[in-house]
Amino acid sequence: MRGKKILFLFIIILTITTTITITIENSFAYFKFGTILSSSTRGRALPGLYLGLETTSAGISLSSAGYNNTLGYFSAYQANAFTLFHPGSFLWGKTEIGLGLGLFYYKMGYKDNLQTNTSSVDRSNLAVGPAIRAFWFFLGGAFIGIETMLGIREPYLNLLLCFQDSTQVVAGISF
Amino acid sequence: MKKKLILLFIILILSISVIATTVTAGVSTRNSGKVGHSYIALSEGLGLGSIRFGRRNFELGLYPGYLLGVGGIVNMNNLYATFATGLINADIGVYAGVGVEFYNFWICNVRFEVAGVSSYHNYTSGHALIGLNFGI
Repeated sequence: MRGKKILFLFIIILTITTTITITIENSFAYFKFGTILSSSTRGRALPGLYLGLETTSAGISLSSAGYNNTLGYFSAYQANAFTLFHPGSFLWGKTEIGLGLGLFYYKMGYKDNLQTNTSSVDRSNLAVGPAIRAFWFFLGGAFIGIETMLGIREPYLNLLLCFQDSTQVVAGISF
Repeated sequence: MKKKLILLFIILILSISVIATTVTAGVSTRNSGKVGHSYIALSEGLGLGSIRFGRRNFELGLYPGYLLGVGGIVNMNNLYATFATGLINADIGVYAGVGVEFYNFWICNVRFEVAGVSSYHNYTSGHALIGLNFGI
């Protein structure tokens, strides 16, 4: 419950920040829409949806991935906020990089009783940390790239460069 | 409580670092754009994360996630993006990351990189790298 409140608050703050940025800069807004392959399960990569809202210099992205089957369920959500840079071209396509902060939340459960289809073993987790984006626009507005968020959990492990990462390969279009 | 305070402090420092980071630092701190350069970096558990050799804006070598591949660097002052493709255990993989180079001394500088790697058969992970970049 507390995790959901924090997630909701974070999304509200991101939305307000982006709206203010768009208003102040008086610049055009861009949308990104695509699919992802998420590392959120720590095992098999999950497909999911990706949505981005941004200006030329800042933006947010929201994504979600999950599954629900007879054995259990898993839902992962990620929200990142970036300062964006456009460093130039790679091969024939332009590039976009982002530095910012990300938030990752997941909830999972296993079906305790397959006959009644109820789940009792629930678990959720929340991580906050720095995030990066590296996108390559290989054909006009079509892009492919990676977004990674390094969740800060255990300071001593973080010093050893160990993080709870949530990485997603993104393929989509920008318009 | 103390642990939470430490976490909050780290998050605060990181936030300030990101917000205060400028991309106007001198080009002189870059080694990746030089004719010949090499990068050796540590990753998880301070184990070996990457060894790459490059010529101008191209690199090849061992990337995080044990990806053996070739890639390119797109420079923006002391910031850069890197894109690579190669093999992870006989599986096709891609790599992309964003990094910063700073503190130039003699022929090397410090290079910090955050990146993600993914392969065709369900391997995706993120990595933080810190290492030395040698350039001539």
